[in-house]
Amino acid sequence: MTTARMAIDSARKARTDTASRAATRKPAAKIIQEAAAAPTVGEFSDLYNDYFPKVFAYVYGRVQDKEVSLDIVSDVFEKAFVKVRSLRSRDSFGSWLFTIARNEVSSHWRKEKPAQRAAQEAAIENELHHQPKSPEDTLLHKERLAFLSNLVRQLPKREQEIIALKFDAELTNREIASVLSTSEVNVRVTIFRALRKLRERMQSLGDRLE
Amino acid sequence: MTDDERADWLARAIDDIIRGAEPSDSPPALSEIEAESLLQAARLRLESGRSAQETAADHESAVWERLMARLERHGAPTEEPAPPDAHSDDELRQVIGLRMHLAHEALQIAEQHREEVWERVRSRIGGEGVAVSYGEIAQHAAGPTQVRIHQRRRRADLSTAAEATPTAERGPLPRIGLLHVAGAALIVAVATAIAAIQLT
Repeated sequence: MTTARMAIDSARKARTDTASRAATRKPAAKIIQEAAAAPTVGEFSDLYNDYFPKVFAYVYGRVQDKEVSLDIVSDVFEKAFVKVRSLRSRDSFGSWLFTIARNEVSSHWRKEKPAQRAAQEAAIENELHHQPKSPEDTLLHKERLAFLSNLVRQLPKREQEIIALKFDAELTNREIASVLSTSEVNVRVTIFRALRKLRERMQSLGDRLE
Repeated sequence: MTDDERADWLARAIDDIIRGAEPSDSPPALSEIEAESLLQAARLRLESGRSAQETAADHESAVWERLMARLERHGAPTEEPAPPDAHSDDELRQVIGLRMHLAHEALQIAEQHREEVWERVRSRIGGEGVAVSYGEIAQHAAGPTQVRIHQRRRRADLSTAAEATPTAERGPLPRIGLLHVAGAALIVAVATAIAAIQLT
């Protein structure tokens, strides 16, 4: 058995154990700070557990295709694991990870042929809106979510980007500013203007939010 | 009231909502309806993101397995103590390093004695076809590259000459020497015998 194989088997086991002790798990930032050089696979699995849902939500919010999103998320974590040694400030792991995610999404859109992209955008599957939910989650509510998703996609790309980083990745405005190499003020104002546009469009299209 | 101030309030309100709390302060210069409709849009969008995060949970293990398979190709760092063959690898690297160091020292020594050894070689091969020494070549050559080319050619010429010499031509030399010695011994023996006869 190779060293890598042993490490990975160990990491798989560690991850199972980690999942069962999720409540007592160390925060990701602490893991990164404590890791002397680069985190081992076991430590990385804790980071993965913490960040996977938000990275997936962000990528899915941008790509709107589950399978493609899963591929991209795999790429993101692979690159993060391989390149984490180059990270200068361990405190910025979150924004660094989402910078990788953002680049991977951009790379995906560059590779995507225009026709495929148009077809994908035209036939956006709203799988997440078809998930079974609580009884009070009515058809009207699903329609609102789908309606809002369509409106968000009509926003300028930069606003879509910031909205996804805020509401899917749930980053702080400072982290978003770091990912996009801009100022916090710019992020705040962009979110405000994007939400105001969404509200206005909802109202102008029959006030469907009310 | 500028957009920046409104944006500042909305940013705080959104962060409260993300934390699961109600917005802590009232909106500046925004009607209650306007503020509420903005927050409603924010809540709806956040719900969409949370829904995607729930979807992610169904795929977390599958993506991890995929990731592990990829990392395996990169040779992931291990938490385990290094296995025995890793120690062997270290020792092997040390031996290779030492061997390279010795080879480097040997090269330096060889360089110091290059001219002296060449003179010995030259004297042994009798100077045939060797008109100049390496020092003379270096003096007349245009540059180090040409010196090296010249040296290579010289060595090639010498080895070709040595190979070209047939064994049959080189072989008789020792036999002739022995005959001479035998002849000389015979003459000495005959001369000694004659001298002895004359004395008696």
